[in-house]
Amino acid sequence: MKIKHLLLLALPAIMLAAACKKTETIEVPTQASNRILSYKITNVPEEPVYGAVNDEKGTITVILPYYYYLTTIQPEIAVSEGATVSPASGVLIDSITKKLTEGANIEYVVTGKDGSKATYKLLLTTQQPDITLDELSPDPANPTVLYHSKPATFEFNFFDITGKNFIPQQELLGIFSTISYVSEQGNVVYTAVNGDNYTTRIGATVPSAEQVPEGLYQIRVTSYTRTATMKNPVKIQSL
Amino acid sequence: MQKTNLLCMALAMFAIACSKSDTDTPVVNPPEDTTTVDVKTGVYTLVNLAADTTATSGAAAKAFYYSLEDQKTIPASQVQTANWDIAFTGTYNSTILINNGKAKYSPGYGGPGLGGIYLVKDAAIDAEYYVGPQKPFKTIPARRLFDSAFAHVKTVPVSDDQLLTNDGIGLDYFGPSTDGWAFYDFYGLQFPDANPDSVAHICYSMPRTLIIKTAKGHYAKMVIYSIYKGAPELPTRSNKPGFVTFKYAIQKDGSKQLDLK
Repeated sequence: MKIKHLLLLALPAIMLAAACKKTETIEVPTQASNRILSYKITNVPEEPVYGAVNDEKGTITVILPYYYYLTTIQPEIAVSEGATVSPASGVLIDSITKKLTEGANIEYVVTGKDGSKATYKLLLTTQQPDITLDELSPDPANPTVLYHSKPATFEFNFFDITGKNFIPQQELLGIFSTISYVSEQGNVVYTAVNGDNYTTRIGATVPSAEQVPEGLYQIRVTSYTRTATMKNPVKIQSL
Repeated sequence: MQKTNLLCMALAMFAIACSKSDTDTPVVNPPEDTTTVDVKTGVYTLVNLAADTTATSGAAAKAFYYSLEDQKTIPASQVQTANWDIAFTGTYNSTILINNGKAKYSPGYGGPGLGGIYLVKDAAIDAEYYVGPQKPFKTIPARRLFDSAFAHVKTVPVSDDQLLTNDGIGLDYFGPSTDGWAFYDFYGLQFPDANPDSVAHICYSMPRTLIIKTAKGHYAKMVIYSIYKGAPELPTRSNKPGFVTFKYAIQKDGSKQLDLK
């Protein structure tokens, strides 16, 4: 009985409360007219690779499948209705390997039909696994000695660099691993392009005395977009 | 791969040994061709298409990418696009590779290309000139044989999975032991009585039809008449290589019907 009374009392109160509430209409914010709606790379086998578009930061992040070794990308870009984009949809971007390692300075400018402009920076990356190198000199106090090659007399000395996740050479695409010799001062004295490259081994030729003077050097390997440097130096000298 | 490297090295050394006057020719990139031709289903003959015109018998020539769909040369920077269909690579640009994005050894690997290639051997035509791998011909095949071999192919004779994607079609039993579209006469066997300086290292085209699936998936057939300037029927060392003359038919409706006029 008491509960019924309470309910009867509560009902008008609820109705009053409902009657008093003001209805506020919240305007849906109008979408900017200069947006990139989608960005996808179409020159890949089968399904396109989509980029992540961030309007707030003005970025497009594309993770390129590293195992395609794309040297050129062909993006298809969709923009707000009536907007234009420059560079236009379909315009090729080349030298991708270089842009992946050195950064791509590419911006897309979208001009809305109201004339307003928005800029998007293209960020290219891959998920290529990091490469690791086995030390040629396991003991830093006892550097392994490599003897100079003498090209003039066709005397070449070879050595193997072993490690993990090297990208085998892609001759047709001009992708080769490189081997750099870093001096004790930290300068790259010489870089050799390698043509004998497997996933766990790179066959290398010791440089000549003209290319790399006698001394201690750390060996640095760049394989596609990844680089690693041995911790311990090797000693390069003439026989 | 290592075998190829060795062969390349041997050839390169040969080139160094043989070349009489080495001149440094600057590498000039041809301006990008922006004109578009509306290539319809039909038969086309292309004359003296300039590939690597500075190539020697020794080293591999610069790859040359061509679009059968649009009839134009495509810059190497677009190798991973669907813009080209055939690449002329290797010695005298004699190996024909196609654009396939899924084939690890296609120049188009990683790109969208759907291409494939297949060499059609026509026993009746072969019987007129061919004796066997690396053997001189009975006679240099006449142009009418090329046209007959081309006309005999009325459809794609094999299913798609029999098209080559990683491998190209090149010189007949030269390097890899496979059938090819040309006889490379290393020693001048074809004309043993002639001066070897003029008849050795000649590439004689053979009347064999190539089936090409383009990067966009259309079917085509082609015969290569010559890789020498002016397409002489009987080439000698005085003829300039690097100029491809070929006839092709392309079917744009997606079918394999190649009985085209």
